[in-house]
Amino acid sequence: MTDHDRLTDTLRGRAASLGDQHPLSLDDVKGRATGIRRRRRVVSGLAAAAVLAVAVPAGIAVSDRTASTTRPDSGPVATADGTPDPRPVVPADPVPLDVDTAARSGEAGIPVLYDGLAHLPEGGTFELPGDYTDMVRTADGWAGVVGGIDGTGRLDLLDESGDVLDTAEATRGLAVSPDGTVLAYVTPDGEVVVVTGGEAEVLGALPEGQFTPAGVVGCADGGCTVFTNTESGPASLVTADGVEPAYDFLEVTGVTADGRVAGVISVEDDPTKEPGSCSAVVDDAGEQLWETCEFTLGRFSPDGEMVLGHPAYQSGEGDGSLAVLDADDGTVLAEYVNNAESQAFLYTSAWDADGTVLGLVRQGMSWHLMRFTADGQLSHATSGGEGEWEYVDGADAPLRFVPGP
Amino acid sequence: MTVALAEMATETRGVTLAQDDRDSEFSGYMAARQPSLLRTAYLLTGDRHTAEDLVQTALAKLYLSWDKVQRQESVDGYVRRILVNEHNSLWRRPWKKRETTTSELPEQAAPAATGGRDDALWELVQTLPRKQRAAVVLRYYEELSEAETAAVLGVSVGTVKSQTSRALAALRTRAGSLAPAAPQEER
Repeated sequence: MTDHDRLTDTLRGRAASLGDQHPLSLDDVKGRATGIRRRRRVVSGLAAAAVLAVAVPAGIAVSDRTASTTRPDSGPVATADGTPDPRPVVPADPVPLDVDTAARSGEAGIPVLYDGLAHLPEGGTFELPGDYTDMVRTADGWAGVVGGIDGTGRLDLLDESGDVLDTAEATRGLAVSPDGTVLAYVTPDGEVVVVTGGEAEVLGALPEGQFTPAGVVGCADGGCTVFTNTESGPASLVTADGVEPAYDFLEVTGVTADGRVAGVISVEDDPTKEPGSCSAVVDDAGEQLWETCEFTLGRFSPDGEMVLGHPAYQSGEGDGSLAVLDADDGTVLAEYVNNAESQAFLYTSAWDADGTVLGLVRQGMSWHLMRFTADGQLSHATSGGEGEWEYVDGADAPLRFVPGP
Repeated sequence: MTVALAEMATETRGVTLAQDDRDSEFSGYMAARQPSLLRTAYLLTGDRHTAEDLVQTALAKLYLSWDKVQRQESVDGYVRRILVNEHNSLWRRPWKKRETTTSELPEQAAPAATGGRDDALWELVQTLPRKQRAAVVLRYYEELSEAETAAVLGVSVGTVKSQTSRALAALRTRAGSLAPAAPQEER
């Protein structure tokens, strides 16, 4: 018996032990289909009203210091002292996520990777030394990880022109401080390493498991804090003093220079209920500022004023919507939602240097590099252009964005 | 006006009949294929409840696209692609990670053990990264060719080869050997 035969026999035996079960009825399937269809919801007055109705879900405890996502009516927002709020007048209804009706805007202001090249916002390209699954721009140059999804990958530190200066073993994922001066990565042995000015220092060691860095802050004040995520448990906060839970976060998704943190705090994983999750933003002391169960919060804008809102349940076909929220209180500044006609899905996104959002959108069988603004303007960003969609999901996306200072 | 209303009523009945036919066709597919899909999903997830959830989502997406999928491609191929794609995506989601990354299967969610050595190998299969595991299930359980596996996973044949090669190498390393006395052979 060959290795392959034994593997086949093992899999068949295990599968056969399940028997000929029919646990699902047509009604079960149609019910799930209704939920999926709702998430791909058609933009209509009814749908918009439904969104407004669930802005503050029932059963979510809201403390005195906790605000929830709100959607202001059109028109200026008044501050406590009665003066007009400088924030943009926000659209009351979601903007259709449809590339066919979008105008064109300027080039991407952050590096974009495609066709084996790094395309620089200042013009020019350089050939990538590796097939990087993650890449960030630092104050000194670049850092990229090849592989690492299995827990063992290679970190390349590159100079400004893309030449490899040094390598190290690393897991997948990189974090760079908001000012770009500090890089954080995790070794296959679980050591959390911070790199400043080319000098590496082990900050701490994580327990067994695969971890990815999600953010690094506070290094200028003499003590770095690195947030890490893992598939097997809640997020961690690593300092020179040790490892502890990252407040109440299951997953950290964004950090700001002043220490605010965004992430997922709870999930609905009861298969009999509508799937979803709740996210929150906390301050540098871990005190919750606000929470939402309408969005999965993502990265903060470069200035920390805004934060991305992805669907509370993200299915395997990409996101049918994207929101830009006020990071102070969760107010929805703009929301882009697909519809039955466009069937557009967002696969990956990043903040551009100017505070707009770049996103890779699939519509039909083609992909497009789009720009989203906080005042509800959707446009084609010209860098990277567009092409035929031939990918299963965002993990094999045709281009990647490079975050950094 | 009367004629127009009568026509509308006829059209409405036609839509209802078409919906009934569609549901009937879909029910037939479910009856025939649900156990098989559940088995594949179980091998992908390692947990029966998660597998049911995965199959429910895959069938729901198939239901939404039933007419188009029937016209354009293999229904089984489409569902396999959704199963794998959805499972890969669920792994990235924190609300599913907690379910799917445990190394110990819940008592009530796992079928009975089948035998000592194979149980050990099955345990090892569950430790494989999700994409390697998907490649292994498609190649060695579904017995798809490398090209068919590549189509389901949406990757190149070369990636399928490297994923399965890495998976087998990892299994051999952890198990000592899958079959010490036998020479390796390529399908």
